[in-house]
Amino acid sequence: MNPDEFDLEDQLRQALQPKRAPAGFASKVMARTRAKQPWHQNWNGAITLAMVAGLVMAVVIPVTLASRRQEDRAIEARNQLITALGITKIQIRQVNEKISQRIKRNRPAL
Amino acid sequence: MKTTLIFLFTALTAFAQQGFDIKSLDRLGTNAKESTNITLEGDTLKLASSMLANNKDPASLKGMVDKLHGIYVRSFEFEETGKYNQADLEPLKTWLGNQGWTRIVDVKEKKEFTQIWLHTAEGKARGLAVIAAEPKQVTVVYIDGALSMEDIGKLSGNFGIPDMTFKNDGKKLKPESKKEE
Amino acid sequence: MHDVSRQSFEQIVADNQSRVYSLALHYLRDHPTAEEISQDVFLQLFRDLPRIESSAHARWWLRRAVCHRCFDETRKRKHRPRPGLEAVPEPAALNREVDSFLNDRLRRLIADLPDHARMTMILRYQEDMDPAEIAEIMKVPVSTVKSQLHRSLAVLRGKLKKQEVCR
Repeated sequence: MNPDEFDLEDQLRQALQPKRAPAGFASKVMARTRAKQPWHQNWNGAITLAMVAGLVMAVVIPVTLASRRQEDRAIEARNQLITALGITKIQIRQVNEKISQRIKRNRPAL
Repeated sequence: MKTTLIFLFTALTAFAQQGFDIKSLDRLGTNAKESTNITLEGDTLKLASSMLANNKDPASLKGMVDKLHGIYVRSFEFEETGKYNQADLEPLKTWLGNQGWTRIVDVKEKKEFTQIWLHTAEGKARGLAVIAAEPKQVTVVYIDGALSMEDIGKLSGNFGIPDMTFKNDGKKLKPESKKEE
Repeated sequence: MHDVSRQSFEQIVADNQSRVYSLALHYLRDHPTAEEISQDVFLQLFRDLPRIESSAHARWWLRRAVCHRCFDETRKRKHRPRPGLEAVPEPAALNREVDSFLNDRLRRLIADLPDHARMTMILRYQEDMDPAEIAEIMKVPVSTVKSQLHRSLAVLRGKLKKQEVCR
């Protein structure tokens, strides 16, 4: 076939027409982007991470703080209880001593 | 002391009890150098009890506290005499008398007195109140709840309850020992 | 297209996958390698997304990237023995696409052209780019592109005449 008999450039355009990309090409590319994506560029991952972080902030931290506050309150209450019982003890002991002294004073000498 | 304890339990009078506003005693401490205000009731008392050694023995300190409804303490120390009015204690004494509490101890010496009041029902102690008035110190203890003879023994004995004193240098009332039973 | 979304990138892949793949395939005449290089080029674009300003920019970027990846691949092949181009199955046959004998002949002749001349022809006739655009992508003077095109067409004409290809 003599190239003078046809338009070579047109024939080249026809010969070099784009071929269809293999089936699943785009899916493979997208899958590889997900695999290669660093966590902070991975939208799904970032959203998941943000949700987990939010959950930690919303649940774990308040629970921990509440637990610590409760423990502090319990220690404070225990200290108050010990103080209250201690004061009671001293008062009863003192009145006992006073009564004992009176009994001794009033006891007739043998 | 034994005589006193036995005496405490001989007073058996049951009357319906109505609340006394313990806060009304706060005016006693207006001029106080040192104050101790303790109100333990309901959940706070349970919380305090939960921190005691978990001894299931009913004779333990925790066993005693678990039976109580409330513990109230007002204790004030003054720089000099005449800084509080003993008349402010009268409403409490009147209330205790009206509610059927029995004054089982009443010791008077010059310008000071100590009274121990006991409330009983069905042959059992249901409350204990101590009113101690000295020239430079006044203390009121009000314990609401069931108390056994052993419990009162603990309150005056050595069941791990520390002695409470005002330290010379300290500003607050502190236990000398926090050791529990 | 600053801060291009994932959806936008998917669109870029959909719009350009055949173009990029075909550039590599026509140049290398090797399906698996063409696919591998094309995918790598898209991944490279994905990493460079923040710098991509428009779909036209993305297209230009992809053409240039696949072009240079093909040159790299050719350089690598020169250092490791591979089957001759004649031995490689014709892509059209693998694709089970009907292709004329002349087109097949032309592609084989293009495959025999020197590396840069081959890419120039592919960019010119597959992508319909003018010499100035090709020069920019291949980082060569426009005059070089023009002379390569002129010489390549002459070579093809000469070979076709000489071979007297028959249907």
